[in-house]
Amino acid sequence: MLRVFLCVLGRDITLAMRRRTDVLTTLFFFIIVVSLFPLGVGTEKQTLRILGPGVVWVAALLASMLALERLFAADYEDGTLEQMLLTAQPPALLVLAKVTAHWLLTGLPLVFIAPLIGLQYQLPGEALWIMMASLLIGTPVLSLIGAIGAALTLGLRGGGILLSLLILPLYIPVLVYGAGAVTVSMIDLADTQPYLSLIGAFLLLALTLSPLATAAALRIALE
Amino acid sequence: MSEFLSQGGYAFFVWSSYGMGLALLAIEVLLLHRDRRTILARLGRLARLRKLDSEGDR
Amino acid sequence: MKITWFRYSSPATFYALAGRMIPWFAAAAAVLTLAGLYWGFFETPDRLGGTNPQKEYYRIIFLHVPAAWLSMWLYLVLAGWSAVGLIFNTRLSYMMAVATAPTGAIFTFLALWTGSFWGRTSWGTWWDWDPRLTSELILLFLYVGYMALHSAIDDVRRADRSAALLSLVGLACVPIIFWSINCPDPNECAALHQRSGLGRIDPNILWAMLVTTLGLWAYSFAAIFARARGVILTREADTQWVRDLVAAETRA
Repeated sequence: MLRVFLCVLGRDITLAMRRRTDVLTTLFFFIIVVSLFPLGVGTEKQTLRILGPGVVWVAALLASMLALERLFAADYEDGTLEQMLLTAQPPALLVLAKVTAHWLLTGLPLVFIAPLIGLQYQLPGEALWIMMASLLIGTPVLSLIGAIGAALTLGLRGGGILLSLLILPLYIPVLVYGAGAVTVSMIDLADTQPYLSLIGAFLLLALTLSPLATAAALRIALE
Repeated sequence: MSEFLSQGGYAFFVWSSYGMGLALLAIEVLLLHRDRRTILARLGRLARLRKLDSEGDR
Repeated sequence: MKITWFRYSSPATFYALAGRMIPWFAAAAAVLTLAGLYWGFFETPDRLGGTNPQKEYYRIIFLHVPAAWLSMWLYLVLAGWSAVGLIFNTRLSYMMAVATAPTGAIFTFLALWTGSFWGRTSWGTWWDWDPRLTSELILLFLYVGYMALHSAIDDVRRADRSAALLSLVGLACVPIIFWSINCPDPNECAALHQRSGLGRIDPNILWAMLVTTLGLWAYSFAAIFARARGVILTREADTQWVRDLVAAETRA
């Protein structure tokens, strides 16, 4: 099973690396969006500190969603997806591999860029660490939940916008606690623990249930 | 009666709420009626077309 | 005694049954709603004191609370029919789910609208990111998402099943979403909606609210059944019974 997982994971990453621009565009979208807010709202330090966590997290949501369309689309169009589902491997495993690839390419880079963004928003040192931690635990959840939406909207016209409409409400808990964790870390570091635990719980829940739901959605879409 | 209508001065708020409620439910009912007529008309047209089509083949 | 659960799962049988029931539900809706509203407007005190003083504007409650309850209940109904459809593969279940969505969305919007007006008078603001208000807003998004996904897919069968799966995923997330908004700071939670215990409300108000809820519930039965009949006619257009029905209707 592990070999299958690694095989699909490797394939997806290799394919994505051949189109590096797609990956980088998502990243730069994140950076640009985050840079726009201070210009629109005001560059005063207090304002930025209040805005920072929320803005970074919303930008992470949007960036994650941009990349979701490509999760299954390419394989769907050339028939590979159908072949993958026809194999004897559990579809949930294949989904998990593809989602992991998606996260490694979109979520993980966000985790590393976050400190730089945090500095832009004048966030103190501990807040930066908490931001990285919350993004580290939270972005996989975004990829996992987003995969369900991507599977449901496979091959539809207006897919991207429709995907956002379907998935963004489901992202709200992660947003609330992710941004909340960073905000609270600026007041009292000890208080962040329940937030991170909750996001961790979401991650476990999503890891177990989302691949199954995504696989079911893929079956429905491919019939 | 005027006391009922003015609702202690909050007439705007109370009647806007109930007004919207009434409007929405009325619109829903009207739309449902209209949809039914449209569907029946469309199916009737289709039936007539089919009949003409099959008669023309003979 | 053998229970034939699936007797009414044939669209044809259900169509006839629904047609007979709609007038009864509509009548019940009118009677109950008017009775409830009359009770609410004329048999209840004009002003409320206590920990949460309210003036005459609190009468919005007789529309707001039933609308909110029904918006949540109808989502459960939607998800229920979706589950039945996915498990038993019955066409009619999906048709019922599709018919339920618009009515549910209307009630959700109404709950938000009336809540906004009540909030303006009671809390001084048109909108507040109060947990319950925000959850209602998200419920509206879930309804709209369901309807949007269904209409975006041309193949009816795939549309039914995808939207059904979406509604179940939404249902699974609703408690989490509600809880996360209700308690954005796990260290302490607070909300503008006071801890309202039903037991502590003036009985007249409570009863008026319940009667109006029953009235609107009957209305939703009537509306959903009517919409379902329309969906059935459209989807089953090629069957003999629909052709006979249309012929009879156009002759009449």
